Amino acid sequence: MIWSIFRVYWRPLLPVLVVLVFVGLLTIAGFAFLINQGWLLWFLGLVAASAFAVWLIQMSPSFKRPLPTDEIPPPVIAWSPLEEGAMGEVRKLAEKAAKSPPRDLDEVRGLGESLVRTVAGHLHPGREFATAHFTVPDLLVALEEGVRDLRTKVIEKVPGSDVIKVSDLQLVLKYYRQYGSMVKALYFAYRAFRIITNPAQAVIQEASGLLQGETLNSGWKQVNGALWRVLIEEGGRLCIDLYGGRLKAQPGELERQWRRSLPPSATPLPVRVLVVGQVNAGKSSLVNALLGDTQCEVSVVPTTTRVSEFRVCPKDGPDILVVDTPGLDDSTISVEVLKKHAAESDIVLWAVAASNPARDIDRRALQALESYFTANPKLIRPPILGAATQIDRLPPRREWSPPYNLDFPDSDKADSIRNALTHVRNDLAPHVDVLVPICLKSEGGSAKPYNIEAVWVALALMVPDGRRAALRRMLDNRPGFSLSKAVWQVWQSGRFVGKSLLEVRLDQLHNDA
Amino acid sequence: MGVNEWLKRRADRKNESVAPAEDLLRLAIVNPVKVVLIGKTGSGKSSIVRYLTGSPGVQVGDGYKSCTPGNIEYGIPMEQSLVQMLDTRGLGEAGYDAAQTIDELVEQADMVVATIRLSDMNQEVLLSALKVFRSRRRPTPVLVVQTCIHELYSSRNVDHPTPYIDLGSDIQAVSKEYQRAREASLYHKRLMKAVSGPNLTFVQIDFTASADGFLPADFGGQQLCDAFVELASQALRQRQQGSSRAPRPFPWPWGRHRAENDSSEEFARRLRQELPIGNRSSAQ
Repeated sequence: MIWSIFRVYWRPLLPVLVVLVFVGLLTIAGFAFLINQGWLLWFLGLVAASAFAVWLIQMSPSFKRPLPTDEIPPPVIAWSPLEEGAMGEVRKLAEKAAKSPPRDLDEVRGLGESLVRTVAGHLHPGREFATAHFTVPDLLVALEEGVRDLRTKVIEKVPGSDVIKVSDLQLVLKYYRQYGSMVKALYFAYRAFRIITNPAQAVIQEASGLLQGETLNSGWKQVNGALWRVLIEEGGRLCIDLYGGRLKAQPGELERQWRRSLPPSATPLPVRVLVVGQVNAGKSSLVNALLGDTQCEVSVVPTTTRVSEFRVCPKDGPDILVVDTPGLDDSTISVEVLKKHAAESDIVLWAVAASNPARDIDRRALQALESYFTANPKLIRPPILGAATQIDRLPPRREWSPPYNLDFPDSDKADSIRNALTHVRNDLAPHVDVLVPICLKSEGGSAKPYNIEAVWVALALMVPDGRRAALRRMLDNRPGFSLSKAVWQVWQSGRFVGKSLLEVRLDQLHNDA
Repeated sequence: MGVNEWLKRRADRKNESVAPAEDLLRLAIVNPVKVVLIGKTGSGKSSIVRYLTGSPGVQVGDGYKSCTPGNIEYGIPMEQSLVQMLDTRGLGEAGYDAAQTIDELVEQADMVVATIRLSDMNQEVLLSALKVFRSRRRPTPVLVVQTCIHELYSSRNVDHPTPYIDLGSDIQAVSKEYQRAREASLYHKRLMKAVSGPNLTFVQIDFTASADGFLPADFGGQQLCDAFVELASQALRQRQQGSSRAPRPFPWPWGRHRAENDSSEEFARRLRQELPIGNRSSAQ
């Protein structure tokens, strides 16, 4: 084994070895000198004293700070609050393992078991056979992932691991088994002999050996502890992925599945936009405006009675899925429908009539939604974008000559819009993240809806980062519409009331575009 | 109207000597018909009060925010009122639960004016309130006023439809605006089926500010006044008939309740004079 290492590394090792030979000779000469002068006892005493001093330092609490460990990289897909909680438990366990690392195989097994139990119990509380709550493909993926990680870690962290063969280790083990006990016996005999022949020297030697052993041990303990911490945290992460069903959601995997299940022209992972609002708040008009096409029936009496999806499929780039819902009313059914669909959506677009102050229904639905997501920490609450519709109905009622400067209102209409928006914002706070004023009424069918670009901009800013690029690419592909241009227009005209919010992310978007 | 002013009025009324010829007038003065306005916030309750009382002091909202924080009383006429109107806080305002207020109002009301925005099809909260009024032994007369007709117009430039909306017969040859308004009105009527019965009248109005540019600014005012007088007389008659179970006096007991003769015709004549369609001198 040693030979095999030497064979690989002999070139860099050669000068060191040569130097070591001479240093070794010097040691012998030095000992001869010490014995000759009669200073050997003093020398050994000095070694013992310094070992004791080092041991004292290492025992002090300030020295016992854990070694800095590598930060755990963030997960591929954002963790839900529940999974974050599980990771917290894992960290606690890792801390415990770092303090008292397992000493034998049984303890390692016990640690692994408690790790699995912790994660499974946290993610699936009260479920029978929680620890087996995964599918076989999930498990295989977990093994695959884990083994791949382990391989790279071993090569990185254990020197010589890529040259030492298992057979070499087996040989060492065999020799140790064969002669280990004999060596120990011989060493013990030597120590006994030493005590009889020279008691004073033997006592000092025994003490220094003890202290040296202890100091080396404590250093090893720290390194060992750090290793175990990393191991447990990595394992915990893998377990969370496994029990959280996240391995199923490997982006690449999902993408491939989407590709398989869809016609070849379709592209993966559409952005789901859920359109919600009271009856006649203008949801259907909003959907039509987003699609740039008349697909929903718009009428004075309620028409949308069930959830309908509209898919925009650009030539290249991912799809966008606009989901129209039945209008919110006082019934609990509509809120249930809303909850179900909100959990599956990337973003919720909340249409609310700026001209109608009766917003108790919106408020209660928003509160129900909020408590639903609080009660189900497994789900991630999509951001909510408010669209204040029907601003043309605000007084003075017959005037409509956009654009209006809402940041510095210069007309009665702009004043009304601004005040109405403030009221909408107050009524829906704190659930709605951004509010955009829009007008969807098209004069004689030719005029474009007012400020719909701002909705696009806000959508693009609010969808999760991964999807944002996709959404923007899709938008830029719409004929005659460029998102970066729209951002600039919205920014310039000051039509956006949530401008302060926009400012934060605008630079970023501009850089991307 | 301030509290002091009202107390003064009340004292004046007590001192009044009532001549026999003034018997009818006294009836209403002693115990005016109590009209309670309910409806969702922003549906135009205060606008109606302002129109019917002709009082410029009535605070009217802009339609996009709530403006009436609690119950406010107005008399028609201001002095020696025949009708006492109670403006209430709008239903459906975010964070406002009206259930208790409704229960209190039910005891007081001789008549209800329910306002609905023609464009608002979410009327569950109003409907459940109306059910309470209509489930009494004698269902309270209800005047359903549908407001903001202009919100249904296909364009901002069109004028109010002529002739006035007729829910009964289906006229095909009139404008698109007329058809849309009629469609929405009928939808509300279907919604109100649960509370239908005698003394339930629908009327459509559109009261706008002069700055809005609609003419007339009080579209449907005539029809509103007619229906109001009619139902208020009904309410008075109903109260006379049910005198065995006289309604409790309005929050404060003024005067003694007495058995009355059927004087609703005279009452209607007097009331009509006090409304904008009558010969009231200054209509605001």
